[in-house]
Parts: sequence; C-alpha cells; structure tokens
Amino acid sequence: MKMQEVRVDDVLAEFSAPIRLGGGGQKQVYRATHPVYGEVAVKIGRYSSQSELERISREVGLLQSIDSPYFPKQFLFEPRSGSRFCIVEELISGQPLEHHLGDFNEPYEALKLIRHVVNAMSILWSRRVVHRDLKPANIIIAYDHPRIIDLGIARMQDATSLTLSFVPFGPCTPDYASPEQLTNQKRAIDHRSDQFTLGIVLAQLILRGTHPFDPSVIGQGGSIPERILQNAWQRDAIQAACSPGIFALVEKMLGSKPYLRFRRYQDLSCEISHILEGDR
Amino acid sequence: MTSLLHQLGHRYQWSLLSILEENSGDGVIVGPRYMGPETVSQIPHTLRARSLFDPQFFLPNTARGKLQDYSFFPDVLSGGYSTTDWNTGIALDCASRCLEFQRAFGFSALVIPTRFYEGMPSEFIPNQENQFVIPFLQSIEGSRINLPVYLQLILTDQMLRDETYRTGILNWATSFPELDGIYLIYHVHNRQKQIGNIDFLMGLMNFIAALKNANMAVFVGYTNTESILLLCAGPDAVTMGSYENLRMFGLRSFEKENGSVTRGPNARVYIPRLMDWVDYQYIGAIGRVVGNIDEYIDDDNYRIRMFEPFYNWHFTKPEPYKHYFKSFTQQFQRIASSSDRELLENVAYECQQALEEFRVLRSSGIVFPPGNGGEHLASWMTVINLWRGDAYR
Repeated sequence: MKMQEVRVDDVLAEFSAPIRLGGGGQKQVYRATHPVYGEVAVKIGRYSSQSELERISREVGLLQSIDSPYFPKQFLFEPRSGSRFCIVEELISGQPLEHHLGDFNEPYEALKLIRHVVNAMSILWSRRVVHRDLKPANIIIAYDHPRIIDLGIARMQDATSLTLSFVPFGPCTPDYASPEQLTNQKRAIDHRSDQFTLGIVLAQLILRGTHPFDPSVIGQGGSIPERILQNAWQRDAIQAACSPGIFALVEKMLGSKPYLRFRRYQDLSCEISHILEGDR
Repeated sequence: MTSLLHQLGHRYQWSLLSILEENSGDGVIVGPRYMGPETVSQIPHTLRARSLFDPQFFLPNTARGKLQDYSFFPDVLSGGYSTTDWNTGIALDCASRCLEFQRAFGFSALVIPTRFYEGMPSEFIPNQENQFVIPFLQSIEGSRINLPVYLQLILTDQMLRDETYRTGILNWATSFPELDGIYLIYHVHNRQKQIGNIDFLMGLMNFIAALKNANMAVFVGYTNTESILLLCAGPDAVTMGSYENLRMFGLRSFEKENGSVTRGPNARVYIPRLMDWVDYQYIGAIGRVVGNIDEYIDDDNYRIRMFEPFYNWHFTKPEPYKHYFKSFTQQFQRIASSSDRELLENVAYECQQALEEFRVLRSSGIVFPPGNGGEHLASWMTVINLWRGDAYR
C-alpha cells in the first residue's frame, strides 16, 4: 500500500514560487522564496514519535550552533499540526557525491575532497558529535567546497541515546557503516566510526565508483556489511591505483577496530596534509 | 630508547641513592603509600622532573600508611569512600587537588588514577570513566596545567588474555584525545615469581604495541625482569624495584591490616646471565660449577661486601638490592639501546643464553627450587618466536 504523502499546501502557502526538489512519503523538499531569508530549501516532513521529533530538533539545533560554510544554515524549525514539522534552511546548489563517484581521475583529487570533508567534520568531532551516516549521498559537491548534510542520526557521545533498542544494528546506512555500528557497540562509536565511513568513500573514489567491500568484486559472496565485518576489502586494487602514502592512509582509516584507526582527528588531518604536500 | 624507572615503595631510600649517586635508572615512580608529602618534597626537583607520581587509588576506600597524609585520597577526602557517595562534586574536588599536587611538585606528567577491579567486570569501563577519568579530564580542562596526561590502567591477567575484553579497553583508552599516554599496571592472579603464561604475555605485548601504534606513550609499572621481554613491544618506560611487591603488583600492602604477620623473603641476588634472582644459598654452589663467579655476579662494592665472610644475608640489607639496580640497569640499557632492527634478536639472544646457563647448571647437579630454575625462559623464547613471526599480532 502506498503511503499517503505528507500534506504540504498549507505550509507552502507561506512561501512564494515553490518548486519540488524531491522527497518521499514522509518528507518533501521544496525550493521556495521566503519573505525574510530569500531563496531557501523547505523540508516538510512527518514524524512518527516524540523521539523522532527530538532527533530532528537536535539536528537543527546542532546546525544552528555551527557557523560553518560546510553545513547548511538553519533558519527555522517548527512542529506543525498533524505530526508534521517544517525546516527552512539555506538552499545548497550542488549534487550529492553519489552521482560523481566515478569522476575522480586521480587519487590525489579524491583525497583533496576528503580533506575538505575532514575539515568540515572536525567542527563536529571537536564537539564530540559523531555524524554516523557520512555516506556519499550526504556529501554535496558544491562549486567551492563540499557541504555535509543530514545530521539526523548524529549523536553526542555523552548524550542519552535515542536509538531504538530492537534494531539489529545502530542507526546507519549499513553499506557505509563501521563494524562497531553494524554490531551496535554503542560505547565504541566515536569520531573514528565516521573515519571508517570516510575510508570507504575515499576507497570508492579511488576505485572509480566500485564499493571497496563489494562482494561481487571480492568474491566469497555475502553482502557488503558482512564483508565490512570481515574487513575484506579490495586491498590489491587500491594498492595498485594509488601511492603508498594514500594506501597506508586508507588502510588505517579502514582499521577493523576503532583503536587501529587515527586516534585523534587532528592526526588524520595532518596525515592527509602530509600526503598532499608530497611528504608521504 | 625505553627508559628504566625505579618503582618506589618501602625502602625508597635505596632506590633514590641508587639513581642519585650511581645513575642507575632514568627516573622514579613515586607512590604515596610509603612516602608522605614532606618526603616527596625532599626528592630533588631535577629528579621529579623526569619522574611520575602514582596516586595509588587502587583501593580508594582504604587509606593505609602514608596515604592518610594526602588530602586528595578518596577515603581521606570524603571521610569514607563509597561508590554511591562519590558524586560529581567530590570527584572534581579530588581530581583538582590530586592534579595540583602533581603539578606543584614538578612531576613530568599528570597521572589520572583509577581503581583496581578483580577479574573482568562488565562495568569496568563506565565505572572508571564516571568516577575518575571524566572528573580528572574536566579538572584538567578547567586548569592551566600544561603537562602530558597519562591514564592509569590496572588490568588483570584475565582482561589481557581475553581478546574481546582487551579490545574493548583498547577502544576505550584510545578514545580520549586529551590523553597522551597510559600508565599500565598488570595484576596476575596466583603468580609465581616469574611470569611464564604465554597467552598472558602475548596479550600484554599486543596491548602495549596497540597503544604505541595509536601514538600513545606507554609506561609499564611494577615490572620484574620480564621488562626485558617487554622491550619487544616498544614501551616508553618499564620499572625496577627493590622488594618483590614493587616488581609484582599486588594489593596486600594497600588492604586493611588484618593482623597477619608477613614472613620476610629469603635474601636473593640478581644474576644477569640467568635473567633471574637466585637464593643467596646457591651462590657458592654456582661458583663451584662455573669456576669464575665474576662472570655471573657483577663485581662492585656491593658484591665485595656481600661476599665478606661474615656478611649477614638478610632482606633488610641494602647491598643485594643496590647491586641489582646497578647490574640490571647495565643489562637493560645494553639491550634497550639496540637498533629497532636488532632489538628483538638481542632480547632473544639474552633469553636463549640464560636458558642455556640454567641447563648447564642443572646438568652439573644444581637443583633449583620449583619456580626458581628458569622455567619461565622457555615460555619467553616461545613468546619471542611468536612475536617475531607476527603470529599473534
């Protein structure tokens, strides 16, 4: 049965020139003009529980507290009637990285992008916030530098978890999740979990779009999450495609356990800079 | 190069004289159990500047001996430590006083103390984190102290042998960007004088190597002669101590006194070529077998005194221990100064030679008491071979 789409007309009446950008049954996204903020993105969605509303509210609050060009500015957040919410935020022009996975001709170009993402994420990591879903769909390629979106499942490391306990793994996109997310080891999830996801993204860019844990390439069957849990990735193909410095970086980011990865995000950033500056 | 520190305790004067007058060792780890603040202040500043202070919160509800003289010790501070009363306010007060003491006395780094837990408790991490780690880190953040920060970890042999538990602690200990290193202590249940458990030693060495790989300094406390073996894992510092309770971590001297009388140890002498301590009564027999005891026991003023006809061998006499500090420092530094490439082979050579020496002595009729005949050396060679082959890492 098709889910009934969230009602939007009453909210959009407050804006001018709305154009639908996308969305599904639970959330619709429009480009529109706001009388105060000008051209904006309007997200109208439906929440199913108070905890979901809290999570969305937290994402907005977090973004409002960050004044960074790497994250969309948040203008408004309002619960609406009928278990709906409305978010008005900066309109970002650009496309998700998932549409450009094969576009990076040189590993160094891919690494430059990752350096931007690490710079952006450092703002969150320094506040002990973990994104937990840093997949290519949530990295927007804009004209100047990437933007990070969808902090809906970001978690303060010392905040009480809103995660439902019956899910087999923690909130994440399984194909881009770290082993500790897939096994729902909440205590082990920190910035190094995001680092693992970025390791997947970097490896995927080096492989011109092929997922490094893709079982159809590695063989042995199974699914990507299963391969992630076995830490079975395309070492040989990546090693052949990039410099020893970049390979060593990918290898450390994809460490099967958090303690095997870069301990401090500053160390990761430093290592990337060394490679790009030709020191590795 | 790995440093060698004195673990101070009872008879701390022997260690201090050894390092100050003979340059044996690179620094000290001061413990408040046997040294009040006044005594600590008498350690030369230059020595404190290359040393650590271990607050010894192993049993925070028991302030035995000089621990009572420290206002930051949990049982003293709160008038009786209990986990239920250990709230944020008390924990922060404890942390700020303890950190200020370490800063004011000019130690080289700040040590965040933790408590001892038996076995493998499931609440080890949250308890340590809530009661000590977070309050201390908060206190450091609010202060202007700019020194390296080391977290103390007291791990049991079960924790280090169990890979899942060990991994959990590694993930946790490496999760605090504020930390610069770990001050590691291990407690081996029912241990003999030397550690021969291969799984434990491999787990310990893996643990140290993993911390080093995570760019953390690693100081290993309360080590016996296995510190030479641990060189293979690359710690920043290991320790030596006079009495066995400073070379084998235990709680006896920190627990409430129960009236039982502790028997003093037999006087023993450290023999570098055997990588072990030997009961003084065996020295004559060994001398007759090997012909020239000079090759076994380094000749110095202490040996001259120990070998005088009327020398009264007793564990309260300093000569055997000062002799050990001197001999062991020389042996340790000779091996530790090896290049990275040669270190493992030099440790292996030392162990293999000691194993062979014991074989010769036994074949000549010397029967060592159980646990004192170099039995651990076969295990150590196995550990080195596995480590060399990368089999466990």
